[in-house]
Amino acid sequence: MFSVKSTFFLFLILFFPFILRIKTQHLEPYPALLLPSGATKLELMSDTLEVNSTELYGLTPNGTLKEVNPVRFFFPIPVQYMNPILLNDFGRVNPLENDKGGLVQLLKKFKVLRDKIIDANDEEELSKWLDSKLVEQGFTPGFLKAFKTTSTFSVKANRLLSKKLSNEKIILPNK
Amino acid sequence: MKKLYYLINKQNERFWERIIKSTSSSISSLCAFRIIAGLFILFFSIRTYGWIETIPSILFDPPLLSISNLFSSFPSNGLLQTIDFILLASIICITLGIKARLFTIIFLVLSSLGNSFVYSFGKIDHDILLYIFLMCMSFSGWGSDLALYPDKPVKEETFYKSLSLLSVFICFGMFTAGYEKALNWVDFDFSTNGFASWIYPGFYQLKRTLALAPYIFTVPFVYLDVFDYAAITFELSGFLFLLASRKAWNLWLLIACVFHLANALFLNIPFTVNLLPYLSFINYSKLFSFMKNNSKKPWLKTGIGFLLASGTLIVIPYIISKDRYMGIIYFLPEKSSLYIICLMWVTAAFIFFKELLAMNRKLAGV
Repeated sequence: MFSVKSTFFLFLILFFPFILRIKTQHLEPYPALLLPSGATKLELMSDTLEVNSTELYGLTPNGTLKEVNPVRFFFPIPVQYMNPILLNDFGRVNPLENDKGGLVQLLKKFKVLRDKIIDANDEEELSKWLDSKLVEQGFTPGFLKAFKTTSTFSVKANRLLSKKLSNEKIILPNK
Repeated sequence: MKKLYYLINKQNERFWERIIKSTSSSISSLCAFRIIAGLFILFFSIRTYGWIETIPSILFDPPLLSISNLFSSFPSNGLLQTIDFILLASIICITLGIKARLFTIIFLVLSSLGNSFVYSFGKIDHDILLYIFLMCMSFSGWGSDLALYPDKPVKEETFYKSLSLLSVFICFGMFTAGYEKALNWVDFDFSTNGFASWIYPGFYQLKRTLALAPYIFTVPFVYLDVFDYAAITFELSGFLFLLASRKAWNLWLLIACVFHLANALFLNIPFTVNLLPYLSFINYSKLFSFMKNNSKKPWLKTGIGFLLASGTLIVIPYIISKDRYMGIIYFLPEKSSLYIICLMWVTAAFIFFKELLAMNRKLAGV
C-alpha cells in the first residue's frame, strides 16, 4: 500500500492549505481540500439577537431610495459573491491591502503580492456594467449605495424587531 | 533508529490495512456506479463558465495561490466557452465509458481551471469533494467495464488505493470544517450559539423559510447548543469511524447523509456535491450484474442514450449563449428543488441503512 514517505507527504499536502487558511483566509489556495467551516456565532442579549448584513440601494425614477434585488443585480455572478465583491469595493481595492497579518506583510515585502493596477478603461467598463444592472431593475443609472444593516430579532416572540442602516458607502457615482 | 522506523512502518501498514478493510468494494461495482455518477453530474453538478467572459475585468481578484492568478484578467477569447464544450463532451464519455480515465482527468483539470476563475470574485466555494472524488475515480478502474471503449484494467492494489484515499480525503475535509467550528463554538456559554448564526440570517434575510425551517424557532435558544456540539462531534469523528471497522464507516456515512438532510430541512442548504463521494462506498455488484446481463438489450441503451441526449440538449443553449448553468435543479421552483434534494439524501441514507442491515445479517450468519 502507501509507504511511510507517501503517507507523510500526503498529510503534508493536506495540512499546508489548512494551516494557510487558519493563518489568514486571504491566502487560502485553490484547489485545496478544505470544507466550509462557517464558524460564526450569535450572542443572545437578554431576549434579542443582532444580525449584520449588507444591502444595496438604488434611486427610483421618483427620487426615493429602494433596495436593489441582489440576485438579479449580480446575475450571472452567483449572489454568494456579493459580500466579497463589496468588500473589495467592486475590484477597486486589493483584498490584501488591509491585511496586517505577518505572512501577508512578508509576501508584500518580497513583492510576491503586487498592487492591483486599475486604469480608466476598467473603471468605465465597471460603471457601464453597474448602470445596465440598475436600469434592468428600473433604477436611475449612476447612483448606487451600500449600507450595513443591523437587524434585531426577539427570540421569545420570534420576530424581527428593528432594522438599522449604517455605514453608508457610495459605489456610484465613483469619486 | 532502525527500531523506530520499523515501528512507524508497522503503524503505517496497520493504518492503511484498516482503511482498506473499511472501504474495499469491487472494480465492477465502481463501473456500474460510473454510469450513475456521470448522469448525476450531467443533470445536477455540471457548471458552465463562459458567462465569466462577460464580467468586467476589474472584478478579477484571483486567490494568490490558484491557477487563475497566472492570468492577468478573466479570459475573453472564447477559452471558457471552449472549456464548457469539452466538459460536456467529457461527461458524456465518462458515462458511456469512452476512455473514461482520460476524460475523468480532463473533466477534473478543466473544472478546476474554470472554478479558479469563478473563485476570483474574492471567495472560494468549498465544493472540492466532488473533484477529489473524480480524481480518485480516475485511477480506480471505473472505466474498465460496462464501457464502449474500456480502459485497461488496473491492478487490484491501485483500485484499493483509490477508495482508501477518497475515504481519507472525506475525513480530512470534514476535519477542516469541524476544527474551526470547535475553536469558535465550544465555549460552554449558553448565551452564544453557532447554529443560530445560520438560522436567523438564513430565515429572515435570505428567506430560507421552506420545509422544517419555521419549526427550529420552537427550540429554546439555550438548547440550540446541542446542534453545535452534534455538528462538531460528527465532523471531527470521521477518522475514528473509518479506522474502527467497515460497519462503523458505513454508519458514519449514514450519519453524514442524515446531517446533510437536516441541513436541507432546517437551514434549506442543500450540499449535494458530497452525495457522489459518499455513495461510491456502496457495493453496486448487483447493479453491475443486472447491467452486464442486459447490456445488449435495446431498452437499456435507449434509456441511457435518452438521458444523455436530454441532459446535453438542456446544457448546449447555455454554453452557446454564454449563460450561467448550474444543473437542472435550479430551473425548478425553490420548493420543488429543495424537496428533490431532500429525497436524494433520504434515498442515500436508506441505501446506507440497508447496507448496514445486510452487514449485520452477514455477521449473524443469516
